Amino acid sequence: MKQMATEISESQQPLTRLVEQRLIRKILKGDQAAARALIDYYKQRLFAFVWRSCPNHQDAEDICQEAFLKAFAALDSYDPQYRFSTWLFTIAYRLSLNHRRRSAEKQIDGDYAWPADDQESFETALAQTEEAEQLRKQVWSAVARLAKPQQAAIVLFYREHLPCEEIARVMNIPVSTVKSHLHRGRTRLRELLESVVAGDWSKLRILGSAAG
Amino acid sequence: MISCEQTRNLLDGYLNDDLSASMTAELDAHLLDCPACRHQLSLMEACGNVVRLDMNEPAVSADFTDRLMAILENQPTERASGLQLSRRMKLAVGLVGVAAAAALTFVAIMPGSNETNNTPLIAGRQVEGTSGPGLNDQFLQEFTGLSFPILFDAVDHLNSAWELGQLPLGPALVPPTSYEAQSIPPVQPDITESLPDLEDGAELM
Repeated sequence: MKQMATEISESQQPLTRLVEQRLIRKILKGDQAAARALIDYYKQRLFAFVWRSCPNHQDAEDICQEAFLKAFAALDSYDPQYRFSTWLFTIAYRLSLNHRRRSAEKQIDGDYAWPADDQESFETALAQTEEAEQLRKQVWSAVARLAKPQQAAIVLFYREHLPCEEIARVMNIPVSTVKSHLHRGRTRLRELLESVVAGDWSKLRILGSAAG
Repeated sequence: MISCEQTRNLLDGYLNDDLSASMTAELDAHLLDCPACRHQLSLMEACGNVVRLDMNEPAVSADFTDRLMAILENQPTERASGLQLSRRMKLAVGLVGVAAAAALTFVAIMPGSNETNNTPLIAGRQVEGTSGPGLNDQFLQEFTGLSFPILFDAVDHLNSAWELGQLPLGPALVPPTSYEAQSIPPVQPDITESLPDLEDGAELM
């Protein structure tokens, strides 16, 4: 049932701002095909972002679904000077925070653990060396140990290629705070991983190249 | 040449592409001569590469779009029935409504202060042939800064725009004459404004 996100994203062409705006205008006129196209384009990216802070498949999907519903319900207040993705991720980020808050209250949200269900897909899809795989897992494990705002800033910066100004909009914080989160996040990652790669350039090369 | 400490302080700016050309040149010069700083940079770049390229998240369910579309299709379309107002417009209509209610309450509870004119007001206009306490427009304006004709003009203005399907934003919501609501700043649609702090159970719209 599950496919790797890589396959999905590789099959997608970049959505230009012009096409995106056209889709939104059509959705506002009630065009369901346009709504479906926009959902299809963003669902995996949004899910990947949400899943990083909420590594439970069902919960992450519920958050994504709610984010889409809220975005469509308020579509006529969407400001076209910003990308739709910024708006969508903003909603999803807040929903994720709310979800985490509720989970914390229920005390069911334990420390991050690599989900067994996803381990299988991870291993089967990335036919790389075992060492590279271990390193990648260590990086993701380190990312998961970051404070949530740092983690969100890191993922939005690297995965979504958002500039600091856009990340600030998504997270509803000043740009300077985004830069602070990035700085602290990178520093923490360095601390967590330094012992792993401890001066070993070959490991770093594996880490850098095997990611692709 | 800059020191190792200065270099490490600049690495974030370097990775964020925030450094000036001259500062980037300084940093590059240091990195050429300093394996330790090169290692630091490589480590951070490698982490960035993993996050950027290693898409190991599980895929969203295959029927995600279908389920979502089913929900969307079954939702009552307020827009189609002409009932959906923008957040800004709801605020403006709400403010006018509150002001009108306050003014009506004020008229209802205040004893007639103008002994020479006890003719009651309906929609800001004097109505002949009725009796009871009442206030004139000038009195109302002095004490509330509002008058009924202006309130009704504002409501008419909003209703006309709504009926024409214009759903006006910002300046179009400001009534043609002066009243308190003009202190509302013009709308510059802002995605954060449309997203209130979502508390548990709170709705976006």
